[in-house]
This record gives sequence, structure tokens and C-alpha cells, in this order.
Amino acid sequence: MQYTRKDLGAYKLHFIKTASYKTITVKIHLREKAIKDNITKRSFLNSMLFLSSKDYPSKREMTLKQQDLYAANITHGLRRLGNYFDTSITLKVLNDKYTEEGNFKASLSFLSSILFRPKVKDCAFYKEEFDIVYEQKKANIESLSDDKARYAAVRLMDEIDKDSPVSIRGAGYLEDLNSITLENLYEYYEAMMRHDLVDIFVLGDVEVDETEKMIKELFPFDTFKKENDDIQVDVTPNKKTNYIEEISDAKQSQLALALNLKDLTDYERKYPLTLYNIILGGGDNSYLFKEVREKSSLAYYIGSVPNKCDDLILIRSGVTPGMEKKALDLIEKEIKNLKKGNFTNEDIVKAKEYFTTALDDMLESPLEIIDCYYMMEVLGVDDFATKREKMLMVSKEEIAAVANKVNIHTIFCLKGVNND
Amino acid sequence: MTKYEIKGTDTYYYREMLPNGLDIILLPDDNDKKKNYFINFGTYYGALTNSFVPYGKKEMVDFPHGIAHFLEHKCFEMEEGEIPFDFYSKTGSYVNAYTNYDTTCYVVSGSKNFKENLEELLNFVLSPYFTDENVKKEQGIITEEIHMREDDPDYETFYTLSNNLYKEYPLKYPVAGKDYDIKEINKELLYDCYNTFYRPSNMFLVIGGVFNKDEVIPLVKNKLNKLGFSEKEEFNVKKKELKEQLAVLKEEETIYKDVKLEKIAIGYKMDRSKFKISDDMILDLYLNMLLSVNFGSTSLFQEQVRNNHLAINTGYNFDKAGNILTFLVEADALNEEGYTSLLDEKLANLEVTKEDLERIKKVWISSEVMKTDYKEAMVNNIVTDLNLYHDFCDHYINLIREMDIDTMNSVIKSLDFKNKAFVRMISKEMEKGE
Repeated sequence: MQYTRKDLGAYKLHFIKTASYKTITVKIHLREKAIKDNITKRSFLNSMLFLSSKDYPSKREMTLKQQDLYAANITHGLRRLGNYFDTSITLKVLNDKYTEEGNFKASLSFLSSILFRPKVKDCAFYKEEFDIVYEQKKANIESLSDDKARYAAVRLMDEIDKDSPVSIRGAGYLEDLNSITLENLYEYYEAMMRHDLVDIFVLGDVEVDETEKMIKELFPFDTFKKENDDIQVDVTPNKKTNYIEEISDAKQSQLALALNLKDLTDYERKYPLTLYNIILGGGDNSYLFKEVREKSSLAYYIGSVPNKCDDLILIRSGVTPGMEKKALDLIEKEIKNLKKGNFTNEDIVKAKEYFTTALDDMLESPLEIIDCYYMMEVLGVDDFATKREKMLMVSKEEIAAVANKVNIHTIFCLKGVNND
Repeated sequence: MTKYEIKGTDTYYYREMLPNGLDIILLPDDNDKKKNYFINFGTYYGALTNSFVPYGKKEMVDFPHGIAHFLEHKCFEMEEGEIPFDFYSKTGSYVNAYTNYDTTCYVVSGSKNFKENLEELLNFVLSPYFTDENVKKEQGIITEEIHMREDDPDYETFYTLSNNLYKEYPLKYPVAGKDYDIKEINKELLYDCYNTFYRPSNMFLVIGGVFNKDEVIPLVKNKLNKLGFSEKEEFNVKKKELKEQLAVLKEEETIYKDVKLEKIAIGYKMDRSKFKISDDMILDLYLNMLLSVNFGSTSLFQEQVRNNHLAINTGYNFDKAGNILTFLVEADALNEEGYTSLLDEKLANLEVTKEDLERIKKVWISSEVMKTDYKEAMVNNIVTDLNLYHDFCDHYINLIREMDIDTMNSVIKSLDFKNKAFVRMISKEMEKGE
């Protein structure tokens, strides 16, 4: 695997040359500062761009073209990364060796057409596609509470810190949806193409120079960008845990907890935090899994994940109604135990093994490899080899130090009351 | 061990049947930059098999629904030594299991300790240890698993449909059963199921990724000998014959729930024997072709559904219940009436042109090649084949190439949408309003 990076001013071009795959993966990231008022529009625009374009005026024609390119697969996504919104567009296509000469270039050109030639007239999108996306987004926003686990997770984030980007809902907001117009959506598109920070990745068995020429020709981003601000979010700490409870018509109760990490150092965020989380709730061998599920039979699933850009750890579980308090007490007890250093060297060895196995796994997935290089770019994380080496050096004291920076910030409990 | 090619993909696999009847399929990856391996050890026993004469007994027994899935959970108990979660966590390896209607599968993956991890997989699955206490503990966990699913509106709508479609066929019941079913399960019943189906002659082992293929057969033989499975025991399980009527049980039902978006599920039962193609694998290819062309994202139908805001999150597929073939539709309806009338019209006018057929063939062949990049996906595909057909097809590309328009048209002619069941889930507010 050979990595090269070029700063072209308007965007950064990354090549990961490897002969391990029959496919070539191209991923474009566009990011802008996370502003609550923009999320609905940004998500709306994403759906619009992939519904039609000037050259392929309907979803049907777009898909026919993809089939023609030997099942070229295009996906898009939108997530919040700390203080930024990160839109991604991914193309996966068979290498020309397995199709025909020129198929890769034709696929790139198709992707370029979607991004650079949207179906617009007089600086406005078309109403027909607009209405399709509007109805989909509206249904999606309105049906949030249909999925209880998702609802609990979103409500937790709402309540952590209303002024922070962590509270921004990925699905958007109904009021904002109603203020989007054919014209202001196009304005937003133009602004995105001009001002967003852009990274383009190409992974596969390609000729670097030749591909670079194609990319420069087909992706004419042309405005010079300044360096980005800090991506890290600071959540306002609270003295006492914020507890919110709602009732829902369900057979199971949903618990969602946010733990905040105060004054975490950059090193702690990259290394000891990862191991702390694995030990607490990262897998089938974690303390939360053992205590809440295996020993007490209160839940089928329980686990924790770190949100590193927000200095948060999120815990989610579905528990037996009436047992919410007992489950919360157990979770609290385990967090306290880790603060006291009540975990063994064996736990640490296992957490390190868990991490290195996960790293090996990532190294076999084109998308994970790209994501790792992207994180190096935006978060300044270390490369694969350094990560492995430094993680193995983390000591028990360092993990205990992180444990002592943990506070339960907010708890959201969706109490199940079944009326059947 | 015999070497075969997965036709048209430059990929090779090995297959051997052990004297004790275990079917072993190996798919080694020679890419020296990769490290991961994926192991799937399964038994042909799932939620479809609920009434049978247990091993060593004479009478037919009706077991509680959900017992195959319950047994899957309980195979993780050990009488002595470490439990599997502890064993695998020492090397950061992954262990899990799942149950469907046809099989129960145990999976291990990782990048370290291949031999030890494989041996332990055989060991824990084939060393049952069920007690009153550990059965009781699991009832709490599985009840939460069942309730979690039942709180999901899509799942609830689909299972109401299954219950209304089938009279006897066990597809009627969820794989995990209902909370009251699993209260009936005890250790004696678990041992009966275990002793009947967890025997090498009823099992398969599929391994893909980076490992030394020559080490597998001796290791497995040796371990199974130690566990007492050296010879094949002639034993055919007597199962209750599953029959299913063509008529649906209940044609229409409305569920009122705390949901904002309307969910619908529709099922159509038809007679499998009306189709000229006897091979299920080939029939499935034609049925999938039909779905792709008529309901996929290149179809005019899908475009009309989208442009007229009729439904979102739509899904179409075929399922088989013995002699019955079922066509299933699921959707979030934005306009129920508009959607269902368009669907009725479409079902009366299904069509695949020669151009469509050739275009999708090209797409499918490309996808078959792409898949071989991922050994995990390959292992999963092989297991899916075993699950559906009790065999694994290594020449899909040839089968796809051979598909022709005349056969496609004869499949379309054999379809029949008369026997229909319909379920909708709508907001409780609507119930009050009525």
C-alpha cells in the first residue's frame, strides 16, 4: 500500500495505491462548519444531487448508466464530525482489467456529472424532484419516534447541550424544511462547491499520474481554501447529572447515557480513551455486557462508543421495563469501579488485542482505509503502524487517569409502557 | 481435499466430506497483505423444524417455538473452563451466532490464533451444558431480544402478515418465538434438540480468508474424534411433514400503534408446482431478474411510485414455504390507495424484455467478480446457498449467462396473485378518529 498526498489548493488529492482489490474506490469529502440552520438543507441537497442531473435527468436514467458501467456503485452520506458537517460521495467500480478499457474514466466522468452538472434552470432546482425529496424528508423527520432506540439516542443528544453542535439532528428539522426553496437550495449548492473544504481519495490498482490528470480535468473545484478551524467540540460540563424521562408505548425501555470527558489531552483522546471504552462497554467481554446482560439478565444489548470529536462516550441499552433504575445503578457502579482502578492487567491485554484485531480488519476494507487517512488529515491521528505501536504501550495508570475524567453528563430514559 | 474453481472469477476453493459426514468448504486467500479469516460452523436446524422424533426416542414431540434460537444462546455455556466470550477476547477475536428458519450458525473471525480459535469453536458448540439455572438466566435476555424486535414497527407489521398468510407453515412464527413460548423451554427439551441435530453428518464448516488450508482437515478430524464423532452414525430424523394450503388465513388486518408513518405488508401465495423449472436455484435467478427489472431502481414502476409520492422504503422479494411460493411487498405508504392500485396494475402487466435481461446479466456478472474481493462476503454467500439449497453453487456466472428470455416469459406466465393477504399499521390516533 503506497500513500501519496497532494495539496492542490482547492482540494487535497490522496492516492492509496494497492493491488489487493479488483475494484477502484473513489471517495470525495466536502465539509463545512456545523451550523444548525444548515443541516436540513445540506441533507436535502445530498438527496437532490443523486436523484437527477443535467445529463441523467431521472433516477432511472442514472441507475441505467451505472449498470452500463459494469455495476458502478455510488453512495452518499452526511455526518457530523465535531464542529463540521462532512458530506461524502463514494464510487466503487471494477478495475478496467475486469471490464473494458476506459470504464473507470467513464465512471469518474459520470460522478463528475452528478456533482458539477445538477439539473437546474435559472439558478433553481426543478420542482418535480424537489417535491419528491421534500416528502421523503418530511416523512423521515416526522417518524423519528417510530424507532424507539433511534429516538432515545437523538433525544439524548438534544439534551446534552442545546447550544453545542452535538445537539444538531442529522435528519434535520421540520421548520427548516419548510423554508427551503428551489432557489435558496441552489444558492446553498453553489456555496458548498465554492467554500467547502474538499478531499478526494483514490484507492486501487491505478496509475497515479494518469488518474491525477483525469481527476483534475473532471473535478474542477477552483477556489483556494484556508486551513480549517479546530474540529473538537467542547460540551459545557454540568455539576449534576441531567436526567430526562419520557414515556412510550413499548415493551422495552430505552436507556441512553452521555459521559463527558473533562480536560482530556490529545494523547489521552487518541490512546487510553480507546482502551477505557473497550473495557467499559466495547464488546462481549466488557464490564457493562457482563454485569447488565450476562449476570443480571436485564438487557439483550448494551454497549458504549466513544465520540472522540465531542469528548463524549455514549452508552445505549434496551432494558426490561421497571428495571431502568437497577440497570442505571449497575452502569454507575461499573464507571465508579474503573475510576478506582478496579480492572486487571488481563483486561488491558484483552482490550489491546481487541484493538489490534480491529485494526487488522480495517486494513482489509477500502472504505476503512480511506477513512483512516481522512482522519489523519482532519484530526491529525497517527498512521496505522504508529497507532498499533503506541496503543500497545498504554499503561494502566493512563487508563485510570482517563477513567477519572469521566462524568455522567446526561441520561435519557424512554420508559416502555405497553398498553396491548 | 478436492480443488475447484468458482467459475469465471479466478478464485478457488476446496471441499471435503469427512467420514463422520461433516461437509468442509475452504476458501483460502493467497494475498500476503491480508490477515483475517472467517469461520462459519453450522447445523441444518432452524426455526422451521419444530416437530420431530428426538434422537433416542420413539414419539413425535412438538417443541415450543423459538427453541432452536434458544439453543443457539445456550451453546455458549461451558461446564468447565472458560466461556467462549472470555476465550476469544484474549486474542481480540470475534465470536457470535445466529439462527434463521433453516440453520443455526456459529461464527468466529479474527487475525490471530487461527488453529486454537477453530478448535475452540468445534469444542464449545459440541460440548453442551444446560442447567435449570442457566436456562432461567437466558429467558430474561431472550425476552428482551424478543421485545426489542416487537417494538420495531416494520418487524411487527411483517410478522402479522406472516401469521395471516400461513396456516401451518412455521414461517408463521418469529424465529425467536414469543415471550410465552420461551417460558416453556427447559434443559431436557434443549438436550433433545441438541442430540438430534448437532451431529457432524448434519453440519457444515466453511472457512475463508488467510489460513493454512492443509492444517484444517487433520485438526478437525482430531478434535471431532476426541469429542466422540469419528464415524458417521446412520440416523435419519423423522420430522413432521410440513404442508401449507394455497389460501391465506386472513385477508386483511389493520394494526393501530404509536407510529407516525403508515407501514404496509402484502403477501401473495402461489403454487410452486405450476413453474416448469424444478431447480430452486435457477427459479430464484429468474424471480430475482423479474424483481430487478419490474421493481428495481431502473423500473418505470419505481419511478411512478417516487414521482407521485406514493411510498418510500419499498422492498420486494420471494420466499418459499414448501410447496408454496410467496411474493412479499413491504413499504412505508405515503398514499396507500395510490400505491396499491399502481401495484395491482403492475402485477397484471409484468414484463422483462430481452434488452433488460441482457443488461441485468452484465450487472450480476460484474457483482459476482466484485464479491470475490471480500472473503467474508464469500463465506456468507456459501452459507446462504447451503441454507437455501443444502448445496453450494460454484458456477453462478454460467447460470446467469445461460438465462434466456423464453424461460423468463414462462416464469411470468406461471405467476398468480390471487391469494393475497394485506396488513397495514397506522397511528393510534386514527383508531380514535374512527
